[in-house]
Amino acid sequence: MMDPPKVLLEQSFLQAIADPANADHEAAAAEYLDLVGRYESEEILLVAVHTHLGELVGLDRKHVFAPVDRLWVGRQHRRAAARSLVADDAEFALTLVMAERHRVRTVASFDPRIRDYELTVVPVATVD
Amino acid sequence: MSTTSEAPTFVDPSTSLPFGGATRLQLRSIVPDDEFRVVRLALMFQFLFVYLWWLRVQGLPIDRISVAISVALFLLCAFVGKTWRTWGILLLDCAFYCVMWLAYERTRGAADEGVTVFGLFQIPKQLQVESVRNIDRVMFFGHDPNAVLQDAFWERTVRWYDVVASTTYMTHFVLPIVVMAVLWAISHRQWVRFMKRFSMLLAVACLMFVILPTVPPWMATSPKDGYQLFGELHRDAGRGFRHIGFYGFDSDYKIQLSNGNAYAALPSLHSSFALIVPAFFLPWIRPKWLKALVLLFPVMMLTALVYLGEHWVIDGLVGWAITGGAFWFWNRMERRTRVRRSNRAREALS
Repeated sequence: MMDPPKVLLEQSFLQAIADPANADHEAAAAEYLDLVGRYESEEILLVAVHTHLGELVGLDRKHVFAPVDRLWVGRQHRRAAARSLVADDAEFALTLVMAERHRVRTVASFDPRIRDYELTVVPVATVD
Repeated sequence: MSTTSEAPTFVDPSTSLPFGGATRLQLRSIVPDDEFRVVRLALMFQFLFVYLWWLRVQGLPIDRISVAISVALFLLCAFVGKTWRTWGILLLDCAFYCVMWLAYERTRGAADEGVTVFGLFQIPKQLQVESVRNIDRVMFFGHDPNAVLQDAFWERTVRWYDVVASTTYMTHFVLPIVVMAVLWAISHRQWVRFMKRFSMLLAVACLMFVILPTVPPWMATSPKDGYQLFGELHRDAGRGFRHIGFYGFDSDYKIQLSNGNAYAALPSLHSSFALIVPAFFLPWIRPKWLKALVLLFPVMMLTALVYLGEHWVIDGLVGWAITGGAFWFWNRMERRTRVRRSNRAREALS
């Protein structure tokens, strides 16, 4: 409400940035640099599910994801993810739960499933 | 699927239907509701109802203990069903909050007696009496603003402006606390931003209370205290408030005063708190006329303080300057943090 809009960096997007060999690394890096610029001018906040970020980097802020705030996952979030309609993929369900609970409306992702939901998704995909 | 590496564009979900325009699902239809959300809202409304009832029947809770209890009860209502981690952070926040107020109270006491620094030397209590009055007289061309306002407006009977002045004065005891509690409940990030500015203001004020203990105008004119710089001022800041039926307030206020430091006039925390709240919310207020209107509040507060004989004008101006300084400092620090983190990300990617 009072905070700038949050942009959630979804697991596939985080992995694409962290891994230079990833096929989407270039696109992810370009998008991320733009998001970082918006973060710097306080237009947006960058957030990621803490477990997804924790798999890639430590808890400090001395790395590529220094501007990213963590959305801390509790048992209630995991329970909600397990009860959600996409419970067959626990991590994807968790992303949706955290997005809903933290009022995230924009997600940076390369997972095509995220486009099935009423979210603004970046980078903009072009369908072949 | 391929992706573009062009400059990214935010796409409005309502105009962008993927994969042939199929209807997209709302997250709310997929994710189970947070069942405690309704409970929290109901409890917070109940708290508000009880608080208003208490205000009407018992009076405004203003002593530190009552305020702490009311804030704690509100937080219990606002955090029901949140994660254990959130509760842990709340406890740490509360500890910081308590330490901040305890340090404030201790410093007020120190200002009363003089301070020994690490047992090495003593900062004696050197009361400022005439200096502040003289500054006011210079600013107002040889007049004493307190005396001028009371001579012109103070009457035996309570007038409408007494109610306005008194009520404005009383907001000091609840307004910043209400803001803290609400920010605590709705945005921890904003609570932290507010508390950085608030605690810095309090710290600088306490330092000044120790270094420059200052006699307030009511005391500087009181024969009981032996100063009588000019004609005695009336002192009854609560009379307008009592006039509109808040009788329970008065006895609590006396308890509060008996514990306070009477020489904590410079800077005026009443003025500072009256500015910090509107100044904090100013970026969210769009219409310029509304911005101007909310900034009238600190002006009203300072006028009330001078009229009620509680503060010199210079006390209020210094309070505003410290508030402005706290905003300047933390705005700068927060900007630096954002730039530093952004640069780390850019360097890592380059």
